[in-house]
Amino acid sequence: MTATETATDQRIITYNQAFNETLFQLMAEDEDIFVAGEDVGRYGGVFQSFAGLNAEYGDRRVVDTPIAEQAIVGLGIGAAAMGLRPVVDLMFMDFVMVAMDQIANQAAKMKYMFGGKAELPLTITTTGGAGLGAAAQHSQSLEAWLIHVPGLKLVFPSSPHDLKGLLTSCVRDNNPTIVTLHKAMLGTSGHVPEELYEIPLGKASVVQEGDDVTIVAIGRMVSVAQAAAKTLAEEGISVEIVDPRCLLPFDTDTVVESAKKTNRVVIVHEAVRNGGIGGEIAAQIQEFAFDYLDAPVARVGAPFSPVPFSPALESEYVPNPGSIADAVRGVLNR
Amino acid sequence: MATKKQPAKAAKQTKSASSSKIPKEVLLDLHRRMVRIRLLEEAAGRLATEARIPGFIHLYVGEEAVAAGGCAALTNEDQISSTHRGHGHLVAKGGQFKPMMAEFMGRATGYCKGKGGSMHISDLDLNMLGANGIVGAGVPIGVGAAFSNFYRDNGLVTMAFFGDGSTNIGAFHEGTNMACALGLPMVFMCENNEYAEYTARDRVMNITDVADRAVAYGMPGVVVDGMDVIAVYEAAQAAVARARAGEGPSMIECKTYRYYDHAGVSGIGKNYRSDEEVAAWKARDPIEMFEAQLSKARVLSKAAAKKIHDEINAELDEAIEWAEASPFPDPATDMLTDVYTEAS
Amino acid sequence: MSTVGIIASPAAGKDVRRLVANAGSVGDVDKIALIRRAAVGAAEGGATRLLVLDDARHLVLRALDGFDDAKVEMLDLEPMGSGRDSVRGAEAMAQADVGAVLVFGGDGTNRDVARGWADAVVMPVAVGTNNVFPQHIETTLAGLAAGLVASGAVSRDQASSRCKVIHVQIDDLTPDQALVDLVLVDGDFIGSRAVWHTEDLRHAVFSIAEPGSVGLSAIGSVLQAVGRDEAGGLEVRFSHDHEGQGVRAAVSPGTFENIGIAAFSRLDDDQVITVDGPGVLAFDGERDHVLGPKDSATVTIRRDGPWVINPQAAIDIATSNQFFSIGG
Repeated sequence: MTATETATDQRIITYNQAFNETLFQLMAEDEDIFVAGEDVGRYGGVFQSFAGLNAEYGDRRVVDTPIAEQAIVGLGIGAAAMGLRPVVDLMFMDFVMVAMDQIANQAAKMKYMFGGKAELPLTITTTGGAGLGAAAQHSQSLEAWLIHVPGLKLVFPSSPHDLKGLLTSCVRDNNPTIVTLHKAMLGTSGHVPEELYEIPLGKASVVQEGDDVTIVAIGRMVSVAQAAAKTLAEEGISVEIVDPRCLLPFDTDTVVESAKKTNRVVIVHEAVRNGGIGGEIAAQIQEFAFDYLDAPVARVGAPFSPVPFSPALESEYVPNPGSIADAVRGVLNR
Repeated sequence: MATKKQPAKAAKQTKSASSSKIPKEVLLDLHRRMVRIRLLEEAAGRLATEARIPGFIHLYVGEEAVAAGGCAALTNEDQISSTHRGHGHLVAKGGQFKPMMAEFMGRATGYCKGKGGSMHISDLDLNMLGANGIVGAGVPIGVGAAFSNFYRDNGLVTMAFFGDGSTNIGAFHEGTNMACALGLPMVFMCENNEYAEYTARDRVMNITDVADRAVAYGMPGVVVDGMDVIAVYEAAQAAVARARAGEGPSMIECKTYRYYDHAGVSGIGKNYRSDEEVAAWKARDPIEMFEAQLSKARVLSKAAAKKIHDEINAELDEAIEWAEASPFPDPATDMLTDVYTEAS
Repeated sequence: MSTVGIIASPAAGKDVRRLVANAGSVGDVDKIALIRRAAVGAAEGGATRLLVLDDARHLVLRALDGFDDAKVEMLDLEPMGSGRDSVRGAEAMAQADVGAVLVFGGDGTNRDVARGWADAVVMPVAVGTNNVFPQHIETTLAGLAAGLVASGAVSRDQASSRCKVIHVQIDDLTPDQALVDLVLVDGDFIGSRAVWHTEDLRHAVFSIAEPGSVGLSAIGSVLQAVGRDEAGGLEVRFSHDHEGQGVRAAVSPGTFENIGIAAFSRLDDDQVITVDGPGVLAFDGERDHVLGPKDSATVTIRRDGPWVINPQAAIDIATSNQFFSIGG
């Protein structure tokens, strides 16, 4: 569609296509990579993220599993411990909780408990976030649950470009990694180079530079923050947006640098505000940039309720450009 | 999966006429594995009582025939997954006393550098996927190892050890079903010691034989006398042969008994089981019964058996001394290592 | 009071033959259901009391939970979880005015019952693997037949006949017995009990070797059949030179094998033969006793075992006696 219409070398594909293409390419280069999960084989995944992989690589490398999240992750752990490089899919981030023992007690701790002997090049893929009317058990953003566990790595890509680079890095990493896609972003498009490339895990990106305030935004909130920034720019407020991209390990330096520069920070995530990752980021900022702050660090997140179903509620539940802009005005005392 | 079905020819090979005569070296090997487990565990129990081993300890005494008979049917390259009562599995898979004792004592020279302890003891070099503090959690991990064998078509088999109690948890059911659905080369080895921690099996299960559960997943399940190492070994050999031939998983339920409590070294005078019951099981001690059989078969005299016990005890004494002389890990340098694999 | 005894083997249908042969599995839920059906049949046949042996699985008790068509009484025996339970149960039933015993299990369980009560009246019901002694019959009818005999609606002598027993004497040990076959196999261990390595077969005595059976006795049946109603049995010595004569037989469920035969001969009742060690004696298909090089067993077949009910005959006779007629 737009690829040929847009200028020159800028290849435009969707977030979902970036995921799919990356897996195709990674599997082509490394025979040890296999994919397993519910519906990922014959059907191609509930969001068609795995479309065509089974036809290309067969049942051995693209495995339809039972609906059994503990066993899906366990399958990945055992196979990874034996030197394979599994990519296992948990479909919805909410299902992470079903597999939490295997993720947090097994995968994350195996290397440490074994005195370093285990190496787990395991990647878990899943989709988080609200916006599809999927209600309380299919819409959560649970990154805060996962960053509490030593041994894991977690990325939450905010664009097709970052998705490709982060997924590549995660699959090639020799630790258990979790790649969280945002299900409301699957159809969004952006520039993605054709060849494989890595984005280092633990390296934030400054999405846009600004002087008055820093917005630290996660996942889909990056684009929402950009919309807010546009409005704020019209009011003469210059916003810097930092996308951590990788939540564990977390790039404290880039965030702190930005805070020191703008002196004001608003953290935006889609997860419930209470106990969310925003609290951790705010704590780090006050630890390392306390003297630079001109206002308390503000947090924007979901209210303290399960994700509601009705579009009337859900649209208000998720932070939007208006609520982010309000928070920015707040830290600027405007 | 299209690939899991194997030609009938393979099936026939495993069941062809053959002799059951177990070579003498295998008999002696079975014996040695059992005695090594027993003596290590008795020593570990003593050391725990004397507070020379910290933390929780789950002793395998009484169940030796299961680990020994199961692991003797495997090659070194085959994998096992384990349980919280995992010392016996590691010994049966080739675990050495020095790093085991050091690990029990939390020393830097232990199998896990003192970071895992009794409950997480492991050696991936021996293809032992770790003792596990979460009941049932080893089963899905074993399924993953079995998948790697299937994936590489390397002819290896994974044996998952688990207790009767773990068959009431979801991970067990998810793992067995997945292994059967994918037709993986796997043996599910149940140690039914009749107690889930301190609760009798019949208080928490409406079936007596865990093997009854096998059929529900589409695999054969058999019950054997878990105090008879030959019975365990024969069944394990048959199940391993099936798995290697591509005929998929099977389950062996070994009726066995834990001489000591769920944790620690006491075992009698308790409200959850009777001393008479403990005595009845001890009267069928797997090592004593096997030594009597070996003596009758003129494979190992009583005197020769005693010599083996003495040798192993001497090795243990040396291991204990070595472990206690070993350094502890250093909080300054060792706390944060091994959390992640650094990029190479 | 018309009493039917019930003895059920918890181990039936679960041994290693599910791995080494193609034997089917029988779970406890199935066993409980088939015992319950038999109990209904027994009461229907006239049993007013069911005297039951508790087993390690409590199968019978669970099967009879809430059963009130007949009085259920339990023998005062604590199950030990071995074949000894069935022996003790049969011994106790011999003293308790039991008219017929429903035996749920295989050849081995019936052997245990016969060891405990030599002239019991039994209705054997096959559960599990491959059985020669018990019939494969719907248990409702097996229970009915047992009830008919226990209540006297059908006489024992009309509906049953005594079975043969292979008597085994090893040195000065307690006499032992098998009902179908006694086989010496190579080896030093009882292990998982079942016999499936045919290369190990050395010497066998069969009291029953009928065409149509599966198991070790199938070897005898294709050499020279011996019916259960015929006198005597068959002795077979095996050969493993792979050159000489042999037969092909269904030695276990779903498994046919070539068996080398050195010699075989028909045995008469009371004829005495010896089976010499070393090796392991398997009674009715289960390794049970290790013979040393100098040990031997003296073996004799006699028709002095339990009375075995023929269920079809029992029901047939009851029908002729108008037992099932109502009205008119």
